[in-house]
Amino acid sequence: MLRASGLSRAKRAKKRRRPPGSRVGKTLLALFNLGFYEKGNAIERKVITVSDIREVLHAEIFSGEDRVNAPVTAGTASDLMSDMLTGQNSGVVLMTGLCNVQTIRTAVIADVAAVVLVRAKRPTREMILQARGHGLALLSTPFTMFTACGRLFSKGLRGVELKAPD
Amino acid sequence: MAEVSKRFFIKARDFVRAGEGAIQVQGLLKSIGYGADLIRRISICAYEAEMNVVMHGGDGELLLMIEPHRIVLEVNDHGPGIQDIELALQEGYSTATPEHREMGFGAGMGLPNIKKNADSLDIQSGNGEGTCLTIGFRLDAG
Ligand SMILES: Nc1ncnc2c1ncn2[C@@H]1O[C@H](COP(=O)(O)OP(=O)(O)OP(=O)(O)O)[C@@H](O)[C@H]1O
Ligand SMILES: [Mg+2]
Repeated sequence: MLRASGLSRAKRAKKRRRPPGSRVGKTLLALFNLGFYEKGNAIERKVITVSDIREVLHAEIFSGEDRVNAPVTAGTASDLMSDMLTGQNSGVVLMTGLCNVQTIRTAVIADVAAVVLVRAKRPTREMILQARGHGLALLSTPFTMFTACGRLFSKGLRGVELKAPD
Repeated sequence: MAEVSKRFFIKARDFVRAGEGAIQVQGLLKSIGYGADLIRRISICAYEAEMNVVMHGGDGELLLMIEPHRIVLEVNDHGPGIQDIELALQEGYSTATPEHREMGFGAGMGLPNIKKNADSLDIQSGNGEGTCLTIGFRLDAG
């Protein structure tokens, strides 16, 4: 009995999954996702400023104090230099746990607007001097990478794949 | 015939100054006023190549040549050379040390990224022969 009903349920499910029903379903889902995507990401995304980042991440600022109203068009997070050097990262904020002078040089080459060191990592003197010399904002937040990203996302900042125009 | 030609020395294993040459190339191109995308592509190639010399090569130099219709970067070093260039060009292939990885390098993405961003790439290298990269960018196509 149990087995029979199990079978028939499976059969019904199979029937529901069969085309052309599945194609209609897929199309509807795609349309729904598109609407959701538009609403959740494309429309509500925001360009925020270095000043917003400092506030939202309870961050200490080491470079860029004079340009806190500089716009930040998107966010990215990585501990891998090659991630910063591939893709369009100009004008974005980079969240990273890498705290050495190469982090700053890579950020300058990738033309990012701001670097946020997560987990309260403190920049060295050399890092601060380099960042200042190249007009790069440099901050440090007590939050972890995940939390820092989440807090900025909830403020409307989006990833580079949905970057606001420069 | 280059209109502008600049030379930057690269010291192997010098992580204090690693990348300075590429940053100066970027500054120079910005001051001349090229488009942001072209500057981004050239700077990234210069930086990837310079970091490779510092990490894997020997002492060498980075040359920037600005010609009427193209910009050429030549990056050469007197290091151990690349044994298998085909293999080195594959995404993910890397002989980086744990020390390099700790600094965020060693994903094996540098050479593929240079190839992607440049209009032309020529690599001359061999076991014990050093390495010379010639990286070209067209100026006409923006
Ligand atoms: N100048 C060089 N001299 C000797 N070997 C080199 C040189 N440049 C590259 N290589 C070799 O080619 C490999 C691939 O280089 P590639 O730049 O693609 O990756 P990587 O430097 O190891 O990592 P990443 O660039 O992602 O930090 C290197 O690991 C190294 O073995
Ligand atoms: Mg490399």
